[in-house]
Amino acid sequence: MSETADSESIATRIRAEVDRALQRNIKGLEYLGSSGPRLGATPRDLLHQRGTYALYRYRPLAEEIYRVPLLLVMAVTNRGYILDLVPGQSLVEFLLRQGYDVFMVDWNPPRPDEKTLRLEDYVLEFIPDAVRRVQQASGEQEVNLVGYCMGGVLSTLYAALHAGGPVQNLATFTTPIDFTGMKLFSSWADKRYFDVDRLVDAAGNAPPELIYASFDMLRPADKLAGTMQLIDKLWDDEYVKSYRMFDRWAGDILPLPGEFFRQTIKELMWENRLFNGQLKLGGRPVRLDRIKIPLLHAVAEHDHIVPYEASRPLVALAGSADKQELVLKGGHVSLVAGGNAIKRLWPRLDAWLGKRSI
Amino acid sequence: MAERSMLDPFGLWAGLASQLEKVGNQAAQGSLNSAEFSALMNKALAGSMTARKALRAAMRRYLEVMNLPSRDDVTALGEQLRALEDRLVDVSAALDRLAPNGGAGGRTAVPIPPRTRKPPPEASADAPAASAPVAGKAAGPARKSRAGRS
Repeated sequence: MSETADSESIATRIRAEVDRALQRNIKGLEYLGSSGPRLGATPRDLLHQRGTYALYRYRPLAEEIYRVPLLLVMAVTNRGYILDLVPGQSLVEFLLRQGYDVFMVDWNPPRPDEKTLRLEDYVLEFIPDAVRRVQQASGEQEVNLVGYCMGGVLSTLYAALHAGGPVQNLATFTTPIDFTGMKLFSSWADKRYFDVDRLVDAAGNAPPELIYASFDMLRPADKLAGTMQLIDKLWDDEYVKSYRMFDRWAGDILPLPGEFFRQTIKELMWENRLFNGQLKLGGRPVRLDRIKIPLLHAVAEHDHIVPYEASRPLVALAGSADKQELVLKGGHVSLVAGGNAIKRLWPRLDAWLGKRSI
Repeated sequence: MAERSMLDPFGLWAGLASQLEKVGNQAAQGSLNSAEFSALMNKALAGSMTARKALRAAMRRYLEVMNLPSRDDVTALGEQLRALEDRLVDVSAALDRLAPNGGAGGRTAVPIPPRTRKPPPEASADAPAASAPVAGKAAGPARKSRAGRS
């Protein structure tokens, strides 16, 4: 009797494995022959575009919306669709359904003649312009600002230089403040060896391949391990779909304006001026203690791009009475997108922001 | 996650991938974080930039001989277009300021709902233990970072 059960069990297992192997082959062929899910498809209108800077307004999905509009500021090295992957996995869609009036500053690849753009252009021109247009489009004076990664740095700089301005609440995700905390980047950009002037003078804008390679080298085994895991899970449609979304986004790197890159390396990375309180933009000192508005700073426990040591000082340095640090499980990307973000960050952001948006 | 069968060679494969990710990244950290690696990498980068500059200069000379516009010529044209674009933007902004309801700057393809939303009662308190790490495991390849840089 027991022998019969064992044989049946083995037969079932063999059948399951054969079925899975067949699925891998079929799906593998599908993978090679298809283009992957359409990303960033939540309906939106382009409000303004000027070279690398683009401002979008998403079409509301709720019957009534919060009074204060929400402006997302994307990282300058990456495309904004990480915040709007596919329906059900889109932070933008989630926010729209929760009743926010959502705008986004997204970045196009800078043109060769935009190599002269500096932090000042972003913080004193583009973001103020976006805020003004959001005010105009919404008819409201107050605006909530949410920045991701370097977009968080730009939002923080803007908030520090426009204390008493229209921003009512500031939320930042994985935002570096103490650049010495980015150990590998600091090591690679060691001023004894890294000639940033030569690179910028020769290339104009910092090439996306260089930026991609530097991200990739932070965890060099991930590329191969990720491909191996994909081959193993080719039978799993959801995994493959998710892999393709993130893989496409991770490879979709933007060049950085040369002067912006030079300034980031020299003033933020080498001299750590933001953390030390010595950064000046347009002749005005950037003092984080001038930020008095409510602040939410979300950081990822396992962020290998902006480690916790690099992002930790923001809450301590900000002058806000109402400020909160949110340390969540996950990494630099899984903090804002994917299953991890849906469970952890999104509902907390909504809970924090909703009551401050009326 | 279901236990992988020993009959499944991909079970061993998945284990290998996972080990490679952990051990490979850990092992690489020491080398990547060294001054020697930084020096070597930047030497290669400097070489590549020098070659790029030389190639660009040679290409410029070649284009001059062929009476074709160089990259710098195209960039200069781009700058002129940008100046024109900036002027148009200024004109457009001025018109928007004059128009009621923000003019084109405020236009969307759908009507905007009333701004009367209030947060639901449960959202009035921040999530508990918000400043403490939240337990749980991230799902999907977003944490495996070829795809998602985790």
